[in-house]
Amino acid sequence: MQAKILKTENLQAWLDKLASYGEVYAPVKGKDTSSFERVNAGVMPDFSIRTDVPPKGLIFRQAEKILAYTVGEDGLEIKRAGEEISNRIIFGIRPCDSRAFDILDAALLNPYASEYSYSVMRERTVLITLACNEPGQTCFCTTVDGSPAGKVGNVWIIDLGDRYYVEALSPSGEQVVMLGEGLFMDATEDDKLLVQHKERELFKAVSRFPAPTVGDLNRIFDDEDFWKRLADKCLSCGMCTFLCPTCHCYEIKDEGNPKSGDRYRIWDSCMFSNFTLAAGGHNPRVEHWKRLRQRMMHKFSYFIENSGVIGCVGCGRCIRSCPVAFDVREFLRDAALVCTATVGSIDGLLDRDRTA
Amino acid sequence: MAAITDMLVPVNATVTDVIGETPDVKTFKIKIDDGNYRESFAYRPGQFAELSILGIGESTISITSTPTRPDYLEFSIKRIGLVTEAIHTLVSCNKIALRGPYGNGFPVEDWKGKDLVFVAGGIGLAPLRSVINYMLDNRDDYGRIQLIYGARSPQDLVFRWEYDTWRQAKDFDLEITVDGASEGWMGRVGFVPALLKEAAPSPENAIALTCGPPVMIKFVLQDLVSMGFKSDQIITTLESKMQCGVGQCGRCNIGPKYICKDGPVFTLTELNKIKGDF
Ligand code: SF4
Ligand code: SF4
Repeated sequence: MQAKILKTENLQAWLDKLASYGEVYAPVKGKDTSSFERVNAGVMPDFSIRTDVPPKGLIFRQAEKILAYTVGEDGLEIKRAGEEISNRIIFGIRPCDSRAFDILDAALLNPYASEYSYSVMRERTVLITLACNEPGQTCFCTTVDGSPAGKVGNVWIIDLGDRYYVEALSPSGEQVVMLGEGLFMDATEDDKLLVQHKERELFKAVSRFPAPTVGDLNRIFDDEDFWKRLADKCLSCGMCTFLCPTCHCYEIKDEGNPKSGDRYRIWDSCMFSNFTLAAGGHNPRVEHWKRLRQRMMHKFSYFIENSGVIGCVGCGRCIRSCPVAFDVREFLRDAALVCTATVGSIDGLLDRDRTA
Repeated sequence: MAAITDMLVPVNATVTDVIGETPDVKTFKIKIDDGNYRESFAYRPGQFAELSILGIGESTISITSTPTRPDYLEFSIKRIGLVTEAIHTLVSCNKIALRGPYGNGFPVEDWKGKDLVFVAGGIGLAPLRSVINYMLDNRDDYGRIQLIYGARSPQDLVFRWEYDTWRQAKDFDLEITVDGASEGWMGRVGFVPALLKEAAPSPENAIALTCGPPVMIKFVLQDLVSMGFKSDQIITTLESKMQCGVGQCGRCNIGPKYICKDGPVFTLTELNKIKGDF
């Protein structure tokens, strides 16, 4: 499909048409926090905000019912949960949050095992990604292989002032663009050139810094002092994991009595001390620094080893939400420094192969 | 497993027999109710399943039966938490929910023609028993089998009812020890590593498998190495807190490896390579 142009004044009309596809979610400023909420026709979302809460939970829900059980005269009955899920559109999701779903896919939909509820939600959801014209203070997407203009999701749009440039990236993306037929014009060659220029400029607008490679992190894994210093202030509150768009650790929990009840898949956090506590009492990550090390290693080393991508999209939410100001960027800088004190220029550091 | 199935949902199974092993271990014979699922439940020694008592939760339990005896599954379960406590109240004909099998299991096919040395402590014999009986059912494929087993006390030895069968099997040595004797115990007293040293199995054309309490494993691994076993010849199976069983819930990793999916069976060579929280 040809790239399209949508006049700014027609955005509302397109949004209203999208409601015929399914539920539309968009960034909304609440009293205390901003998040992606269902928007009904006629309501204009606030596309200027970078939401406090990522849209992760719209697809990977915080509490997902897996099954219902009843124990009766004739034994045990297990019924798989599975309400009808309507189509949904997440409109105005930022490139980092969009890309976070690719990372969740690698973890939850891999060939070895596929998480059913997530797969259904994912299939039903169309992501309309909005490029970031003004990166935020805590954004570092470019350091972790992303870009504020990253073309991810099903549709990609960028604000050109008086108009939006709209590009469908998948068949479902084309379908939702088609819903606005008549509102769009074909993009001209000039539009395309302008957009390419903006893509390059936006990439440069988010400063990149050297980050450690898998090999670096393996080398400092046993440096206890490094990790203890890093985790010095950490309260193990888990805020960083709950607001992270790529964190996906979960727990399986029953709610009910011996006769009937439900089983849920619920978000959990590797920062909690009982997360790895076995029934016999053994716990490999009792110390809080080991848990912070696990979180960092998982995102910046294990995930790359297992899935080939970094497990962090650089959204900066963990930095903004941490009550004691733990800054993952400082960790990355420190780790890279400790490991590469001998490596030459910053440019050399920036472009190292991260898997090495 | 590529197809999208709801892997977290267990199926119904029925307890067909319960054997009291020790004051806190019982062996449950279980039959999956649905014939199709039963047939699709193809496992190899060393794999495990998630057993649930709905309303209380799930527990990760290794399969102690062998796939060569397909009429039932057996799980030897130690009472150590809420779920295992609830499982212990089950009697024949009761229902239990189950999903699996999970994990890599032992590469028994690769070991044809080799001698096998099993070193086990306490309930750690359960996953190894699957291999032992698998080999006895394919006796000609394997060489000499040596089992060195110990428990805290005579009462804590599991599968006592099976020792005679094993002792009578061809080329099978069974050596047993207890940490502390009780009245009437005529056997050996002492720790497993000491017995292992005494038995001094030859590393030649052999594979050594060990499972038991972490401290025991630690010593046994060292001793096997000093006896001349190469890291590739030494196999262990690890335990950890698990929930999903398929490498997603985030608990059981040591470094980049998930015990549930990349393990629970590892060679010493593999373990030596991993940096992680054990
Ligand atoms: S939000 Fe901060 S204090 Fe809380 S667990 Fe994360 S790093 Fe530690
Ligand atoms: S680790 Fe922090 S910066 Fe990275 S994706 Fe998670 S919340 Fe965003």
